[in-house]
Amino acid sequence: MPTSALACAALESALNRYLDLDPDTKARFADLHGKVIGMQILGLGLTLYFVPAPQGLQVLSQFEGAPDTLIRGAPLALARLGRGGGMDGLFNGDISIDGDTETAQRFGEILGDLDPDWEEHLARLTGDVAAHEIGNLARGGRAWASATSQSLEQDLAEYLKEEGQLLPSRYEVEGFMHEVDRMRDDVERLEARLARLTQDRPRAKAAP
Amino acid sequence: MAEQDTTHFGYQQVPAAEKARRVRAVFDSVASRYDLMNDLMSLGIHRLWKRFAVELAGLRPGHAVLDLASGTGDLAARFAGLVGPQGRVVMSDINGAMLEQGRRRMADQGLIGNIEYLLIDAERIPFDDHSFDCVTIGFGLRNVTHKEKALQEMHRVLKPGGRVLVLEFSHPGGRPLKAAYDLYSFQVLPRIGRLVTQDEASYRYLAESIRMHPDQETLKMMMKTAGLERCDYHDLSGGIVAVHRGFKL
Ligand SMILES: C[S@@+](CC[C@H](N)C(=O)[O-])C[C@H]1O[C@@H](n2cnc3c(N)ncnc32)[C@H](O)[C@@H]1O
Repeated sequence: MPTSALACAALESALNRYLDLDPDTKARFADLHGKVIGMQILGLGLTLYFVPAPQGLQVLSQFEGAPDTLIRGAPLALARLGRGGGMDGLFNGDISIDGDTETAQRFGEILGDLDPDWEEHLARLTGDVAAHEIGNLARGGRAWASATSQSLEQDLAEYLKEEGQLLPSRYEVEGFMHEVDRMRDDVERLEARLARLTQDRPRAKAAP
Repeated sequence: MAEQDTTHFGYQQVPAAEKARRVRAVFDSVASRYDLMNDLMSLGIHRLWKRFAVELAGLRPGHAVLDLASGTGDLAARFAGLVGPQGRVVMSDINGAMLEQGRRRMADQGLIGNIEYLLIDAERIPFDDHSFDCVTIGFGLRNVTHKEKALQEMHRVLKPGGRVLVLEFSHPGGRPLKAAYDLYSFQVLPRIGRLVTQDEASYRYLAESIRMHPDQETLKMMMKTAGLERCDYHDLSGGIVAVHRGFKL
């Protein structure tokens, strides 16, 4: 599974946790049911698709067909959108919109009204691609874990109960551990790389 | 952000000290694979598999989709979001109790307008030819007695241009790494063992039914035989699970 899919999943569950705490905002998103909002993060070659519905938002990493609206911007400009800057970026040229401008604006406004904590999640998505993805996954997952249950046993028990017919087979666990191992190796390589980077550049450098 | 020494964390400007903290946090949070597994488990790896299948469904607002063996409707709930108020989702199962539970869950989530609930046996789909843009079955084909018949039926009710998606346990290729195997046998297995021995028989049935299920290539051939075209599949988690896709052209 591509890591960006994992990052999308983590972002989606984080956003929906905020929405569950904020029924008004959730209802405003529900009004956009039937719309697809693309968000292209410039410089990363990453486009996310947001699909609002009564039960919350879905965040997709791929969408066949044209979204109703496509919001383009550099990571910082998009992060400002989520920080309450609303659509200010549109007027100073940091953000551009293709397609249905009204939907984009409504979406941007609602996003701007969300708990600012969520900006950090978007920021993670726009950080160093690998670092953020792994970090986002792990941290998003951890927050989720503490919200639901504490231990592996509990998680498993819940999982087994809920998906009675999907009990993990030996296959499943083996393959899964395999994947976890690979991911750990990736993380170790990344750590070495980041350690070098931090040594080379202890302070003050502009972003590329 | 206040004026101070900044450095980049990816493309993002952060104060230098903050960066060190964030980098640390990234690795603290993934340092132990046990933790990572814990996180993934709680996020629900099965949810990730389903998400992936949903993206492959290629649904758009206005589409009509039939979900077979819906159970309590994880896939159907996502589809209802994607097809919008003008779209149509038929959530179905052979088991009435399952379906009823799913219906209640949808209502709780505020999903009502575009979902219908029907008792359907995947081997006999009560719809006209060319009715749906997409027909899906998630972790259900394994349980169907005549899989060929079900695949033919799924093909029949598809509109030209539509697609069938089968999400199912499959056959992982390759051998597990030794380390993973050790972790599995020393840490995970005993725990799972303790949990599942409460119902060992059904666990064994499940494990067997997964092993009995056709492997990736065999299922792909079966889909072709049922009339589907451009069939392909994606292995997830090393082939523990696969998503097969086929089109009616
Ligand atoms: C493991 S559940 C899958 C539920 C759901 N799709 C998911 O992915 O979570 C399998 C479901 O298949 C249903 N089922 C078994 N045989 C079937 C058949 N011939 N036609 C339709 N559904 C069937 C069962 O009732 C059960 O709800």
